[in-house]
Amino acid sequence: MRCQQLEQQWEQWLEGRDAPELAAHLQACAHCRSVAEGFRGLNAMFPLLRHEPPVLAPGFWLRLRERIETTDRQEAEWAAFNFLAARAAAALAVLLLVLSLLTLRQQALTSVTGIEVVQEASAIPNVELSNGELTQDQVLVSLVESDVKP
Amino acid sequence: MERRRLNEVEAPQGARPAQDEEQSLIRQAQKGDHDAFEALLRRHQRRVLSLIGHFLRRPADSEDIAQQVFLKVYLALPRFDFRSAFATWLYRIAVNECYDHLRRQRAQKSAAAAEVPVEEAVSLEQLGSSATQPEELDIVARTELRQVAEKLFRRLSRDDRLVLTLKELEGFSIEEIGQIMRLRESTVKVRIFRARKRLAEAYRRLVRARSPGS
Repeated sequence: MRCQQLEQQWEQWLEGRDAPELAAHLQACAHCRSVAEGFRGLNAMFPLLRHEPPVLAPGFWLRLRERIETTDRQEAEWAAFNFLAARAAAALAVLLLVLSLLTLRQQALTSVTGIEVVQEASAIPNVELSNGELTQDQVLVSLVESDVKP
Repeated sequence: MERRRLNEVEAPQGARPAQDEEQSLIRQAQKGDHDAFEALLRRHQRRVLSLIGHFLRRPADSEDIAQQVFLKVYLALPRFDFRSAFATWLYRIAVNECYDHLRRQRAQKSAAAAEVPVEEAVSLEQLGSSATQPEELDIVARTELRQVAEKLFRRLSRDDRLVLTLKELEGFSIEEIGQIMRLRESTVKVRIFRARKRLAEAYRRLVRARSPGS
């Protein structure tokens, strides 16, 4: 059996379980014997790498609590700012909407008045005054028709 | 090594009441109870510190990183939905914070800088013989061995170091490592095997460099 095909057997061997195919292979393969030697070295090495966790400094929890409170405060301030900013933006949007509506209404009223004037003026007989001048309505009609707002 | 399950905590406990108590603490902490939050973390602090210390191999940094981990836990706790064990979730945050720490450090220096001088390898040869166990060595040899082992371990990639830390130093099961690293168990097994193999290879190279005629 080739060395690369023994990965699963190695896992069993490392866990201390029976790995008969690997055991047979180790008899014949110097490379894998050397690998096994390395693994044995690791098994002895790992206990050396273990250590007790450090003891926390006395002020650890107090420091954590202060950081948490600072974070809470910053979050609250940020939330308050966001709330105010959102309200200000909403108020500005409403104001712009109202102004736009007012402007549109003003424009609509102006154009309606112009049409009414034209309609009323067209009903008046085109009488010229004796002195040759136009009536006031006729002047108004001519102004509206030439798109000049009174 | 003593194997502990993820949902075991340091406070004395039976299985179910301890879990119920922990869930209750989590819910209180989610509502902003700082005392409950501290009590919750105190149950896991030892394991978190151990994990950080074993993975980063710099005990001096452990406390600062633990602070950062606990602060992140506090910020994320409102979103914890009980779908995984609290411990798994907490250790995942700790592992991520360790990775962030290593990333920040990488700019400053090379992680693989610790070369093992060949003369130190002489003591490692003793480890290779199955008859010798570290506890049988005298204190000087043990200290020397520990230093060499530290250097070899630090030369591993951070991914290899993480799986070996979780498995060999912290004693997590394959299933637990899979939960922490969000990997399938088969993937975890393969990663552990390959990490061990690379470490064993580094060890063998060192020993070979010391052997006569090399």
